[in-house]
Amino acid sequence: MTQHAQTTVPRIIRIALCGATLLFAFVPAVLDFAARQDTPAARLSDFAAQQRRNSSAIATILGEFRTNLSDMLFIKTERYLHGGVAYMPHIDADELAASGNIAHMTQTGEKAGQSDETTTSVSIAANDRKSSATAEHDDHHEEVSTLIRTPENDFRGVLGKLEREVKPWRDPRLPHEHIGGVELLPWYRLATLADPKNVRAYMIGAWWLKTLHTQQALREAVKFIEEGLHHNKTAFQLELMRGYILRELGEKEEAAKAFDRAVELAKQQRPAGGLIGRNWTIYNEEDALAACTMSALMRRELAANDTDGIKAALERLAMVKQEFDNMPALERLERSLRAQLETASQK
Amino acid sequence: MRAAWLIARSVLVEAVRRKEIYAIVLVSCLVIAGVMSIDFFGLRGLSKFYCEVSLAVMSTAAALTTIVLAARQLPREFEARTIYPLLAKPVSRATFMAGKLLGVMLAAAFCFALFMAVYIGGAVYMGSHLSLGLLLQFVYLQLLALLILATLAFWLSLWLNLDAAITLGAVLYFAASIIMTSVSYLYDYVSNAGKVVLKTILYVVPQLRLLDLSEKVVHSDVWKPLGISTIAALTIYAAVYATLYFALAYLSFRRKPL
Repeated sequence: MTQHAQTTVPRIIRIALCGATLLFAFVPAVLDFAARQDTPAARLSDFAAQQRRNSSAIATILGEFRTNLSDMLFIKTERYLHGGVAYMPHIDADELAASGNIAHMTQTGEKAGQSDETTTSVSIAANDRKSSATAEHDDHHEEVSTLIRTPENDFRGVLGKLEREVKPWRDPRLPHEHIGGVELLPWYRLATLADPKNVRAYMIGAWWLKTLHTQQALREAVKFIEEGLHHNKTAFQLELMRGYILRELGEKEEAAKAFDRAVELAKQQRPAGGLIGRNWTIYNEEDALAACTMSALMRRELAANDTDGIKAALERLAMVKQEFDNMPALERLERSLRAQLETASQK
Repeated sequence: MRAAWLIARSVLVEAVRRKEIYAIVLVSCLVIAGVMSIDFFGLRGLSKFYCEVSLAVMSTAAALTTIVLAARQLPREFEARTIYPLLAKPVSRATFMAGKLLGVMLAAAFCFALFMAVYIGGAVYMGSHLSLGLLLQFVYLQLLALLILATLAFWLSLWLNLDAAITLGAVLYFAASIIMTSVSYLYDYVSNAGKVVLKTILYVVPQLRLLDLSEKVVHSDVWKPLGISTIAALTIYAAVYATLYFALAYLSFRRKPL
């Protein structure tokens, strides 16, 4: 029978094993280095920073690799939301961020249509664009096709049938089923490690942490958002999200400061009249509106009594309105607050 | 039959004694531990991530182990000249090859069993939802995929040198997982001639993606085990390719001058 008194491990395997061991030894150092790296401003909002990055060939290659990896990890989260079903990836990253439960939220993940006044005010913005973007989200779940072809559209015969059996597949005409968001968190963590400029991964990751409603998870969410802010100093959405989380933690003064900073940053980035374009999306506009609204309404929460609170909110709103032209939702909020002030004064 | 079993046993014993399998399992576990050591917000019980990473690492490691193990079986017999006394005995070449294949598959199953022990231990620790039916089907389909890879490596090793056979086998393993998706995606954008080419690729190259149930195992809280007819169809599918590659390997081996 085959006998080999002295057997040796093939060279190719020895090299592979040594390489894998060496690589593994460097994993903690690489992750730590990646997390500490200071990065330029948010890619969507700062074209100058983008051009600086693009001026270096190596930076471009590595940058693209990191971004692509991060985007791939982001797509992974969408599959998790749909129980593993692979729907066609959305090219528009904002649409991607809006998939899953985000269909019922603003970009920062704050749910629209909640019962308290603050979030109702936020949802004014959502109502504003109900006829456009939000309506698209609702329809989007009906329209997005799956990566695996439907039986009617499949040229592969028995192979296609087997693939639909073996892989998670659901008829795209059926409504999407969304499940367990917390399981997505590791992928958001990896997405941000791969590309610390992935603002959406920070926002949605923090939002899922926030949904856990525990002190530890909320603290982790704040830490996560602050890490995002360290890498994306001009991302006003992150300040907005930080404000929401701090508010839930009961740190209202800090929350108010965060909303104010979000307003300041949004003001610097918003084009005149809030013109929607490549650098200022409808999501940016909605988040800017949410920041303005929250900045005003936090004055009310911080005041000693309701009347003073409404007055302080109106005062802040007046200031904000001067800086953000063509934001009709702010007018409506002002009218609502004035009506409430009148009612409160009559009492 | 007995001769084939003796050959298979010697392959298995040798594979176990060489401790390569243990090293591969250990390195894979270290890689999984490395990924899991990342602090995911201090949260426990993020089991789907663990399942996904573990199954991907384990499947890849098992596939590469099988390719390497299978690819070196026949060339080494020629190099060490151990094939001559063997074939002088009343053992046909087909029996010899069948024994070798059985041995490789037993070693692959041993490797996969070690992986599964680690995986199940980890999944139970993480509080993961385990569907026994899906898990068993996953193991069975993975073994079918390994059978295709082993027979392919046998064939490649008889007309290429060892390194080339291993590399080509590995390339085919990694490419097979994306060919099906790519063909499906490209089909609508190519000419009629292109469509024929794509369809041919789809049926000529074994679609190992069809034998990978890991996604349903990860999301086993949503999905049920496959029906018996699907498992039967997949078994026939794998058997066709394994038989084809084994036959090609046998033809090459028969023509090889001793």
